[in-house]
Amino acid sequence: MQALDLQAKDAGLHGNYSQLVLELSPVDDYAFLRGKLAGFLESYPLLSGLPARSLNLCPYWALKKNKPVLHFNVDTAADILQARELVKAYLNVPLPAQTYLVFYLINSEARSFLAMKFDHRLFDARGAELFLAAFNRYYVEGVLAPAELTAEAGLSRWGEKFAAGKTVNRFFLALRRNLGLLNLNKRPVRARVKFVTCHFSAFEFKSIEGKSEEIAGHMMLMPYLLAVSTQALYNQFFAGREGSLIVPVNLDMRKKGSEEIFFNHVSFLFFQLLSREIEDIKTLASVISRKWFDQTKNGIPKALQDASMLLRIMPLSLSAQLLRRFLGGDMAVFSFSCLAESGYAADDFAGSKVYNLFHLPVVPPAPGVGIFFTSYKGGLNLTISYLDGKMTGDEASRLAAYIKDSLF
Amino acid sequence: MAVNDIAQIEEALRKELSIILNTDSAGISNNTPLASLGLDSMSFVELLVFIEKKFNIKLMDSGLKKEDFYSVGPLAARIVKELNTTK
Repeated sequence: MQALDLQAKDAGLHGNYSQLVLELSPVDDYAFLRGKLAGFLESYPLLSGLPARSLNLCPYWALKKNKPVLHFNVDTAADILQARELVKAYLNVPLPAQTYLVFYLINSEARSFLAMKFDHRLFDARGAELFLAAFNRYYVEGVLAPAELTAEAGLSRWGEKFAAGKTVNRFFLALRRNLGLLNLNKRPVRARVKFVTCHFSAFEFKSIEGKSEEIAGHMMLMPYLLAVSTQALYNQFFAGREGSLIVPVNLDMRKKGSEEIFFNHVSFLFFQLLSREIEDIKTLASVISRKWFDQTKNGIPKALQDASMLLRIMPLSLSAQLLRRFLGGDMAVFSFSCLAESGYAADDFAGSKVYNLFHLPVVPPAPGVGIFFTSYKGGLNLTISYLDGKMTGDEASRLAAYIKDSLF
Repeated sequence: MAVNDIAQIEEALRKELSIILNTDSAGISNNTPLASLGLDSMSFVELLVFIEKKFNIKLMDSGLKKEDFYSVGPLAARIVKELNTTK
């Protein structure tokens, strides 16, 4: 995560972070909410920590003596449309120095939006949802969730880690075979992230799941969503061209039901998809399901996690270069993730009704385009995140429309 | 394991599901719908990998049907059927 953060900063972005947004019924008493949030944050000393490294040893999260400080900004929008635009614009506002968590409350007459911007060194997407869920429990019941930290330090069992490194190296060598990689070769014009978002109601999501069963098979929603996204992007940007696309897919590695909030628990699957496999959606979904099965069977996500431990003692700049080379780098065409079950399950947040919960992630500079699906209360959200210039706003909107039309 | 020993297959599936879903196996009966246990795409693939490794059958290639994965009972019956076919 440190290396990804450096990589993002080298590309002119403000780091590797994301924003989780709650669309709420109007929040009347924001001062009360602010007070509650400040009290909640003080219960987690981890929030005032920062990444540190002694000499050239492994990095760690160093706790500071002072209590965590709440950064809470309030804004008023003329209407819900302007509020939504402000939510997107805030993601490009840098986090204050040595700050890893900031809240923005944007009020409009019809809706309030609470945007939680967080550094990925502190939370991943699921962790951010769990953090808000823990706050809501504290707000409603006065109960504080303990900071569960079960991940090991990773400073032992080096033999296993080197074996994992060998597995990962072989896997990437196979991926790098020359199969005519197709890529959006455009360079970003500005270090600014832009978004297109799309919401599917619970009824629409049911229909998408039905189509997924029909096309990709039972319980194969993620391969189906990836197949539709890949086909849409290929047809829009590479139609008729021969070659292959590489797509890294983020995976949440927490145990099912784990409420571990802090730090990052993400690994990856990698899909190399040939143009001839992309033409037919059923073939494509089947290829993705098969590759996913094979990578799970061969333990690739776990091997990636273990092998990444080997990188930690390297100078950060070298780790960033290696990540760029291996974790997609210039090879990948877009990154993908699908959180089909939200870590935030409540209907309300701090007394306001929750209409939607969606994510606006800063996409890593390479590949510079991300297609992300998240769900909340039976509905599905699509977010296309891209660096300005990697595609135009019109192209991103067309891509979203293409995906939307193809899903049903 | 005898290929028709459905009780052992059910037991192995319940045990594996409890590991994958991080839950108590006592809460998983042969009739509990898998969907109600919170099985998603990722945990479903983990279950398929277990079935291939444990019983040496490739359900991915033999047509996945929704009814086979309704609960442990039908899934065990499907595994027995596959084992008997490949015997």
